[in-house]
Amino acid sequence: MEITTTENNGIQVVAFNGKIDTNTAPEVEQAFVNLLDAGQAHLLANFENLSFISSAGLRVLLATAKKAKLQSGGLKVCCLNETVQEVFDISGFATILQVFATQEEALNA
Amino acid sequence: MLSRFSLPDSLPKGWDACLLIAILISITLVALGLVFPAIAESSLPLLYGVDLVCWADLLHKYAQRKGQGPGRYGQQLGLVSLLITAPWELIFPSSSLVEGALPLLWGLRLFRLVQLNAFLFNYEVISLQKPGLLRLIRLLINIAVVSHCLACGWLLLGYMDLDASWMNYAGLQLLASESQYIRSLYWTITTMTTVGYGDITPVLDREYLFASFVMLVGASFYAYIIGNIASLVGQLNASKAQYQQRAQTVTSYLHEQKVPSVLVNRVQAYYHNRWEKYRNFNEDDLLSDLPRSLALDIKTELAHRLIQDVSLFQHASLVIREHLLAALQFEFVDPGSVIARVGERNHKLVFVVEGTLDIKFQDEIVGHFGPGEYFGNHSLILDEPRTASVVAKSYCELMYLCRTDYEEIKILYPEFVDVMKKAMADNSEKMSDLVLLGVVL
Repeated sequence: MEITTTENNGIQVVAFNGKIDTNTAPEVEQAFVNLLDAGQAHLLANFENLSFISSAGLRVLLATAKKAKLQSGGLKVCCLNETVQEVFDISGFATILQVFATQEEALNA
Repeated sequence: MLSRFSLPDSLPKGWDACLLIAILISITLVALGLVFPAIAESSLPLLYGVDLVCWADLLHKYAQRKGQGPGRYGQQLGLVSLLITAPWELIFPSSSLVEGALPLLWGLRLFRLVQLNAFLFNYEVISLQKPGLLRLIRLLINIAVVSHCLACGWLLLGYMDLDASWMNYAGLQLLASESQYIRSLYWTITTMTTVGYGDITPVLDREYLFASFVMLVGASFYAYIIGNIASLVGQLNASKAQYQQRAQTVTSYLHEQKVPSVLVNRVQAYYHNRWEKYRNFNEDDLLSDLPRSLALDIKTELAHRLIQDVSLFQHASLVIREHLLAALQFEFVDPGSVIARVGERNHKLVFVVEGTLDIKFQDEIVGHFGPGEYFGNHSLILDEPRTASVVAKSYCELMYLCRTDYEEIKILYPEFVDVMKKAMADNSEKMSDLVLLGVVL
């Protein structure tokens, strides 16, 4: 799992390459925790290169979204591939989290 | 000629009841008219009215059957109805007939008893509600009508030779006509029921013959009544007896296999509750006789609560809803039944129609699913084993959608994913709480 963080207009864009499963979920969680601890509560997860997400990954996203909200921020998600989009749709995450088709849309929203 | 008239597609409500009453009036008056000419004369307009009603019914049935063949009812009624509803008195005026022929033509209307039975039998067949009760009503109507006709026949024999007949010997010739009819009816019933007090007895040969005939009719009716009542009582209990037998077989087997009594008691309680709720009916078995579209309409009607309460159905289009209903499998479960187990990969969507389910996660109850809610979408889409168990807290009505059906619907109707998405939005808070706990269902 490769995680890259960049800043864009005060929003921390976290890009993932690989898959988020039980093994990689702690790594993803740590990446978000580090940002939140540093006071960066406006987060955007870019899943353009994410091939798969498991329940552990969904749990991390949900926990991060809650924590970010508590810090007056939020977690947006963008660029989901077909498989991940379906997981989001069927599991209900598409309505729990703010999901956008492109990074630009997410940054401008 | 018929085509000139536009017959209504359906007769007015209550038409069948009118027809039944008309036929009963006709038989009663015709039988009395054979004995009392005054009644025959005064009731002629009424009888023609009844004839008209019967003609209207015959024409309507003809129009309905046109192009479909006569059908069973039509076959039974066609010729008989034509013969007995014809206004014979108008076709053959009394002057053109040999003496005695007119009463015979008049008496033809007594064959309405056949029409009456065909009508009642047909009603019994098409009306599936309380067939036993309808059969009993048919039986009672028949007994009443036949008794009346035989009483009139017996009275007629008495009038044929007042001085030498049974009426003279019974000392009834000076009584009023009503009383004579009542005595005659009394004799008919005592003879038919084989009571035979002996206060009124036949005197002439023809009376002996008639009395023998009445005895035979009575004996046949007796056999018919006893047989019917036995059959009705048998039918009333057949369903329950069959159910009890099945429940007993299962519990006996469990006892035989030394299954713990707690479990056996659960089985017995389950059977008891199932009987209370559904009797001995199995929906899938019952609907398997019907064409698919009709079965689907009935399933939709039966699942109205599910459609009303479950958001998935509310968001689904009619075709998706019908496909879902056709694929759903029903189950009635008792308290303690495990609906989903930790580690299980038997992926299916479970809908709660009635009752409450407990969500058990790491030996703790972390939530419930109630009517209208469903679960199974997470493990289904993520293809992960369940991390929690779901156990019935009360008697529950559940419906399952298995993975293969889910996949099929998704392929056939890609918009189904949007439906799921909308449905999940209605339940998102609860589901997110469960996901945060680590519950995958």
